[in-house]
Amino acid sequence: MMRKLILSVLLITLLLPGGCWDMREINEIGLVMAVGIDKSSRDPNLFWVTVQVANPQGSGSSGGGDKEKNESQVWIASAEGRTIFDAIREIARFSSQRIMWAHNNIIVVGESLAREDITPVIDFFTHNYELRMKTWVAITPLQASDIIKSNAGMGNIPGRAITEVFRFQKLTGLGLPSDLLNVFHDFSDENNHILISRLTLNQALTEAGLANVSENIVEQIEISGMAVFHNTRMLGYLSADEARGLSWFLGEEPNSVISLPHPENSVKAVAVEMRSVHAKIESRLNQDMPEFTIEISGTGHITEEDISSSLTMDEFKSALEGLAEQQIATEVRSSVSKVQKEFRSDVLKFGSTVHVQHKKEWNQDLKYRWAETFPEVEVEVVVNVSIDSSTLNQIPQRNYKERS
Amino acid sequence: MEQKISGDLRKDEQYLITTIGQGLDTQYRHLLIPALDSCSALIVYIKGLINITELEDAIIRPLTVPNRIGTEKRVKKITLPDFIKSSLFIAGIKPSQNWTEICDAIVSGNSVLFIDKYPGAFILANTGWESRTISEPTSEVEIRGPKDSFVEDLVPNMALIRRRIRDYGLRFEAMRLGDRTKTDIALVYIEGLTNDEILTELRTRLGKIKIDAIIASNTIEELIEDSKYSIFPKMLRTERPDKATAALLEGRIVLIADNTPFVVIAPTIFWHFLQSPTDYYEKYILGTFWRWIRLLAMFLAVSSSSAYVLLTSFHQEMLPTSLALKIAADRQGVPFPAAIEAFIMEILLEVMNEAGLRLPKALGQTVSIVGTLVIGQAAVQAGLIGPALVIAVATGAIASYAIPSFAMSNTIRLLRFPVLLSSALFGIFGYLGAIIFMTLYLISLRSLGTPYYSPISPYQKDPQKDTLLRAPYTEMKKRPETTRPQDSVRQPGSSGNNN
Repeated sequence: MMRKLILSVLLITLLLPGGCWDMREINEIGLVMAVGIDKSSRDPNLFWVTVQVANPQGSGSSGGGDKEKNESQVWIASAEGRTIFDAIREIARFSSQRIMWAHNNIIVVGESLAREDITPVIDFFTHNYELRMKTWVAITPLQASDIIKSNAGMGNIPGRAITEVFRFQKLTGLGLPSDLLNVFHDFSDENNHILISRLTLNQALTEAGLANVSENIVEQIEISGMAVFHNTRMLGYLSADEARGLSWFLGEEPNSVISLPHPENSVKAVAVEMRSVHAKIESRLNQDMPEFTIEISGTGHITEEDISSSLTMDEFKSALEGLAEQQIATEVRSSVSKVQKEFRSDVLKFGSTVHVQHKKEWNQDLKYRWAETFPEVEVEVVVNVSIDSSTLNQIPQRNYKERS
Repeated sequence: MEQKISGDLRKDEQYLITTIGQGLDTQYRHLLIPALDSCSALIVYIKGLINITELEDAIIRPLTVPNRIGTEKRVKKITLPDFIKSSLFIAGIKPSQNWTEICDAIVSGNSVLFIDKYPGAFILANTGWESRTISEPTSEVEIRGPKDSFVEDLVPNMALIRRRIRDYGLRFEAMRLGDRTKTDIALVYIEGLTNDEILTELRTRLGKIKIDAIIASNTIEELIEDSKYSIFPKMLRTERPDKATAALLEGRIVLIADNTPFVVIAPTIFWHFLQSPTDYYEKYILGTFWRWIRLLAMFLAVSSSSAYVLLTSFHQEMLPTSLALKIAADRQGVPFPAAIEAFIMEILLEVMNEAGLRLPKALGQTVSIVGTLVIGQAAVQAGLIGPALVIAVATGAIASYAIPSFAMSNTIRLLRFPVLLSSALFGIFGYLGAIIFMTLYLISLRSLGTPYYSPISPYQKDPQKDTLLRAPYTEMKKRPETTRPQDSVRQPGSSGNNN
């Protein structure tokens, strides 16, 4: 018994030297909230990395009246390096805290770098075991560092505010949220090409700014449009409206609002919010030439109707449904044709669709000539909107006033 | 002690004085019995252990005052033992010729009557010492259910059980342990229900005990339990007769030791420590809910501070961003690493716990005020300790009190330390390692031969109804197989779907 006891104690002490490995106190690490990557303006071969690190002391701790010093909530640093990792190590040289990536919200890539080659960015961040694959990725026509430096959003930490902007993107449908997992997935597939959200700064009034308009116009970050890539290089942008055309069938149940001319009086508009939008892409082969049908279905909820109308409910419903279907189909068609004709890059996952639906033909033949085929394929758009009858029942407010 | 009782009163008295002494409490009362031609007699008893009124009214008075039996004795030649038996107004009279038995009887609180020229003695059971009345349980309070609890005396304790089980098979097997304390032990079981193998095993283990003193029932528990070096309690101690009764009816064995208000129940499985009588007194859904809450509480008690350390020192990526920032902000300027901080807090908590336990009520308040204000608030405000840790440690402490068994609650609180150490050294691997090791260890244990972790491992289907669940009574048609009862049917199958 005694010998066993001594032996086990010795064995346990043997483990102790290995203990506390990788231990780091939470207050000693700097949580990266956002990172921007540009090409250096001095030397085109250098990367210019800007990080936004949360400063917990600034973000208000509990109790303790002495924490009122209005410290900045983030600490911004940037450095240059031959590789991205080089630059980050450079930051570590003067950062008082150890950089940790696990809580990063967004990776912003400058347009100049994206136009040249985005591979190093994707490579670095997928190699990084700390980083979550749900981190957002965005391209900016400005310098990425400008986005990182800007003091956006209503939250405490700009990096986190951007996340919220991404999360609520579904409400506008003006772009497709692009996270690292999606980007990496599409990037590693030879026939898919990537689409990344475009971030810009926009001047908007914050609540505080209303009191003193001249000074407090804060630049806000907004998602507007998408950057279209072909292989590793960015080709150009889709505008916000064009991006919405894609989000109808590529997005996850976009909640976009469409304004339609009123069936009786085309000057007045009716706002319809689309819900439960589902899309299906079908491919057919017509003598080796694939043809696609995009079927979109959804429910429309009337949210504004500023006109007194004499139409019956059924007439109004069918007229409005027709208008909505038409509008969505137009949006989709114009975006798809822009992607096909202008960028000639299959960011629409048509290739994958054919691959799944016509595996044999794809592997034998189409796969090898997809780049040339894609711009030429026929795309048919079928939209089916049904206006939710519960919102139809609501009588426009104007009816009450004009009757009396 | 081989000497026979001589029948010579003076010699016998001398013998007793040399054996049990002539102390302050040992009384030798001489008297003459008129009915026996004024033959001299001696009553030996211990003051404080006998009922003195009974001695006076039911023993001395009938012996000294001439009565009918006395008159008849002369006429009809009744033997001396019969004369004594019929003239004393006392229930328990036992003639004896054995000195050991007589001395034991005296020190256990009987009076012994010696009569000159008679080579024997009469043990008169007129015990009556000051004892605590049956009161409400103090360490196992339940809202519903009976409010009585065991006391220090063996006899009322047995009565408390007998009052609940009128089965003819209920047995109180007497046993005496401890060479010097000679403590009475009752081995309680139900004949024809309790498994014989378990019973034999327990008897054998009890038989092997050779010790000078049994101070309390847990001495026996320690002496007979399996894997003696293990930290987990392997027998349930309770002061509630309803709990003991329920255990008996499940085919388990109850040990009552004199002078201990806690009886020992064996075999006991791990899950019994998470069960409380209230589970049965309220609706089964509530009973089940509470059992899960207690399981959660046990988990929290073991891991709350470890979770804090491993999340803040190793796996910050597992925290939600805002929580990570909050904790980081609160920990700014805290002088110690989280692990050291956690150890300090845990040890302080145990110190407070220990201090509060034994203080007189009036001082208990002081401890709680000093504890909460000084250690809780002031330390946080001074920036010596992160507030999140205080929450984690307090959660663990509160959770440990949710475990119904005091013994298990303490065990769990102690186990926090190895788990915390392991987590502080190796992060989540250390934590999981410690938990896995503990679970495996639990599975390897046995209580009186019954697997400790059953019916989960080894898995048994029917007892699941009363382990982590509390099935409705209509469903619990059988006794739990874990105790292998001889008679396993609880509700003879009227519906016929006993499976």
